[in-house]
Amino acid sequence: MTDFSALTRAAPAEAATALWSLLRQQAARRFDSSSLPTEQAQELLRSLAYTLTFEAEAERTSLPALLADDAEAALRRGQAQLSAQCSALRRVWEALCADAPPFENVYFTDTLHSLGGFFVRYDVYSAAHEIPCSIDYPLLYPIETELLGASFLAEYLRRLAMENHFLRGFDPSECRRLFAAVYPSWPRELMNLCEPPLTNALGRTLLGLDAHTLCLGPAEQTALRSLVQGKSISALDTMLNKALGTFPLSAQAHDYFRPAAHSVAVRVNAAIQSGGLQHIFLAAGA
Amino acid sequence: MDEFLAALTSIRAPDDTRQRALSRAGQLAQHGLHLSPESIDRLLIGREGALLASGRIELGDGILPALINALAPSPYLTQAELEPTLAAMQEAFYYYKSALRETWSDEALLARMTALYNGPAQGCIEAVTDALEALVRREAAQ
Repeated sequence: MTDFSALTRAAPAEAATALWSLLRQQAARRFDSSSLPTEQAQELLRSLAYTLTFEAEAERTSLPALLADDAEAALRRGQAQLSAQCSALRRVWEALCADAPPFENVYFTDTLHSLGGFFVRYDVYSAAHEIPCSIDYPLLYPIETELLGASFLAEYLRRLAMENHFLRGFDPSECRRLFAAVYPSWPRELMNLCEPPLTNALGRTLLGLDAHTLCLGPAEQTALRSLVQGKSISALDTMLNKALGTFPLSAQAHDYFRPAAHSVAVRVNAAIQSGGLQHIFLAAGA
Repeated sequence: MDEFLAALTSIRAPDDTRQRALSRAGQLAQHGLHLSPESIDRLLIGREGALLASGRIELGDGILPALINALAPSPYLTQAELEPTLAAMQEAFYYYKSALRETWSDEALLARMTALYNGPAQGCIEAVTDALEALVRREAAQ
């Protein structure tokens, strides 16, 4: 949630008054002060608004309704919920670290390590909306910017878990050859590791080949070209979705990877018209 | 100030600082001092300027009621200097809250300022702010 002004526009005056009282009370409690530097007041207010919105969503109610009841109690419940969420996320992160695909990309490994700092530095009382760690590794799709604090981390870890699970289905040495075909210096490049194996696995599945191997040699490239020649984006989309459906993934993961398969359909359609598929279905690993 | 805080500030709970200040002003009589409602209004306008100058936002009653309470018994506070002294101390309070990087609570800073005013500064505002400047330098050096 970033449009905080919408919150006050939507909230009745009583709710806004309750929010203001909470801000005043938290400033006194956390900083022994009735006044704050404007920036600090803004951050504290964002923290309160995020915590209360988080709690309102958990209780399936509106923010004004939550504030109208007992705002201070609602804030305490929200803080407790966020703390519990952080404990659960820590366990997810630990499992991800223990079971990470063995790829030496610096952004991948550094981000995985840095995520641990979140649990040390996260301040549920004064800065619940912040993400106090460095997250550089790009997922297959960027996370919506309106997600804040623990909500952002939860979504990042959820997506990373699906991507890592997918990557572990392939031979690491084949993946490394594929990464090197995208970027020879792939261990130092800011890149998503999931996309190249996903694309080649889709290509092999279209040809009826084993998708655990990622090799697409000259013969496979030619066969793929014949297969997709003249197909519309819609037809390609259907073919690639069907191919994706054969991957041994959860329903949630299938949904997650579907936009990536659609993106491959669009790129393939453009590539057919401009001459070749070799920049999409990479020949590495041959 | 961002839009959200500005919107909230505009509809915040009614500020009863004026009422509290008036109430404290009533207690000045026992010290032979008098602060008119007009003076209170001018001091509250001055508070807005002081907050703006120090980049702060007041969430509560502000320091004025407590300041009146703290300085009223001072032997150095005269009727002629009452309003300018309160104005200067209020401005200094907000300025040094920021200059001391939020490390002093409201209560502690007010107590220090009052002690300086009644002690080594002997009612001289400039001496109070000089001492606070020295405090800022000491804390920054630590």
